[in-house]
Amino acid sequence: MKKIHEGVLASLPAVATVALFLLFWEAAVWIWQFEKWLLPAPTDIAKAFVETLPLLPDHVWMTTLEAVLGFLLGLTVALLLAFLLDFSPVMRKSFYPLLLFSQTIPIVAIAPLLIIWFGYGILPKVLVVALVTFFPVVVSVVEGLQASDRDMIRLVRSMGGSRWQVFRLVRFPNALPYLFTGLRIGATYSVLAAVISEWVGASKGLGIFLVRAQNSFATDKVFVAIAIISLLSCLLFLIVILISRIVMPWKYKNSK
Amino acid sequence: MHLKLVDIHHSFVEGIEHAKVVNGVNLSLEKGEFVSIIGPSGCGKSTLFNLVAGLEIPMEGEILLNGQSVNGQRGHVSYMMQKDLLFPWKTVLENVLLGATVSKENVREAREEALSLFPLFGLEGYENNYPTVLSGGMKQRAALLRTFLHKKELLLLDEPFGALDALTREKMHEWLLDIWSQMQRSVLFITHSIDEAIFLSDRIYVLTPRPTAVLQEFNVELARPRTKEMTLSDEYLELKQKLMKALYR
Repeated sequence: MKKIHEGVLASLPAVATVALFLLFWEAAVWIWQFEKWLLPAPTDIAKAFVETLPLLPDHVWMTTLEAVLGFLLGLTVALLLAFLLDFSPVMRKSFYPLLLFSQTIPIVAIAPLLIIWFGYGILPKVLVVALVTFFPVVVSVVEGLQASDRDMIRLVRSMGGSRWQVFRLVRFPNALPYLFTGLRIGATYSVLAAVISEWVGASKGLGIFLVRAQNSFATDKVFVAIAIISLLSCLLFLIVILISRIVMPWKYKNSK
Repeated sequence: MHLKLVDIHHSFVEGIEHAKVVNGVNLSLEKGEFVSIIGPSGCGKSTLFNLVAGLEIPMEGEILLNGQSVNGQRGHVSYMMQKDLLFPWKTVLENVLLGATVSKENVREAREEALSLFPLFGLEGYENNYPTVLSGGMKQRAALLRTFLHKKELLLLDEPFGALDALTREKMHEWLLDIWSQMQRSVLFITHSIDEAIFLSDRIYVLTPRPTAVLQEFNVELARPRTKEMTLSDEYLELKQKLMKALYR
C-alpha cells in the first residue's frame, strides 16, 4: 500500500503538467476560435472518442494482433539467428555486416512490395512488424552473448563444463538484459510499424482509421487515433518491462 | 592425491610473437598438504594454475595427477580465481552449487550439504539472496564454499583474499585453516604476501620473474594449529627474512 502511495506521489508532477497542458490547449482553442478541422479542443476529441467508441474495438484489435504477432515472429527469428551467429564466427563475419546493411532499407518502402506478394490480409502487416522489430533484438542479443565475462566462462570450463553448459549457465543469462533492451525498442516500434503498413492497404486497423479520418478532415478523430496508438505502444512497452521483471528477478530484487 | 609438475614450459602466442611465460617449472604437492606459490606480480603464477586446471595446454612438460598425465584435461581440480566470479543472476545457494550443476551430480544431496555448510562459512541467512547484497569478505567466502563444494581433492586458490582489507584478510586466514583442517584437502595457494604464505602453508615455492621458474623452496616448520602469536616467534621471523631475501634480491 505504501509503495502505491509513493508511486502516486512521484507521478503527481507529471500528471499535473499534462493536466495544465490540456487546460491551456482548451483555453487557446476557445480564445482564438480555431476551426475545428484545424485544431479541435480536448473536449471535442473526447466527444469524438465517445462517438466512435462502437467502431474502435475492431480497429484496435486488428492493429494489436498485427503488432503482437509480428513482434513474436520477429523475436523468434531474431533469437534463432542471434544464437546461430554467436555459435559460428564464420557466420558472424559473413552475415552480421549484411544484417547491418539491410537496415538502411526503409521497411515502409517494402510494405507495398509485401502487399503485392501476400495480398491485403494480415500477413504482410505481420511481416512488416517482424522485419522492423527483428533488427534491434538480433543486434542486442549478439552483443550480449559476446560480452560475457571471460573468467566466468573459464570457471565453468575448469569445472569440466561443456560448451552448451557455458552457454546455458553464463552466456545466455548474461545476454538477458541486452535482450530486454532490444525488446523494449522492438515493442515501441511494433505498433508504429503495424499502423504504417496499414496505410498502404487494409480494411481494418488504426492505420486505416487514421487515413479515413484524415481524408474526411475529421481532425478530432485523427487525434483519437493518435492517442490510442500511443496508449497501445505504452501498454506493450509496460508488458515487456513486466516480463523482464519476472525473468530477471536479480535486476530488481535482493533475494529470490 | 599427488600432483607433480615436471619441467613445464609455456608461452603466450600472439600472431608470430612468442612471449615465454613459464620456463621449466618443477613442483609437487602431497595429499593433505597446503603449499603456497609466491612470486613477483605478473610472473606467470596464474598461468601455472590455468595449466593445472586444463584451461591451457603446456607447450612442454607433464602435469601428473596421481602419476597420470592430465595435460589439457579439465574438471579434475577445484579452481578459485582472483575475482569472486559469483554469477549475479544466481542466488548465493545456486552459486555455490555450480560445481554440482556442471558435473550433473545429485543436486538435491549437494544442496543439503551446501545448506549445512552455510553457518561454517558465515553465510547463514543469505542462502536465497543475490550476491549483490554480500560484503567483500562474504563474497570471497561464498566463492570459497563454491570451490570446496566442487569436491575435487586438489584446490587451486589464486589470491583469494587479495582484494580484502588487512583485518578481514587475517580473519579469513584463521577461518580458512580451520576449514582446511576439517576438510582435509590438498591446497595450492597463490599469494603476493609473505606473511600470508608463512601463516598458511606447509611449504612455500618462491618463483622468479617472468619467464618464471622455481627459485627456491622453503619448509614452514611452525606447528599446527597456527596462532597469531606464532607470527612473532623467532622461527617465523627468520623464515620471513629468508623469503624477503629470495624475493627482493
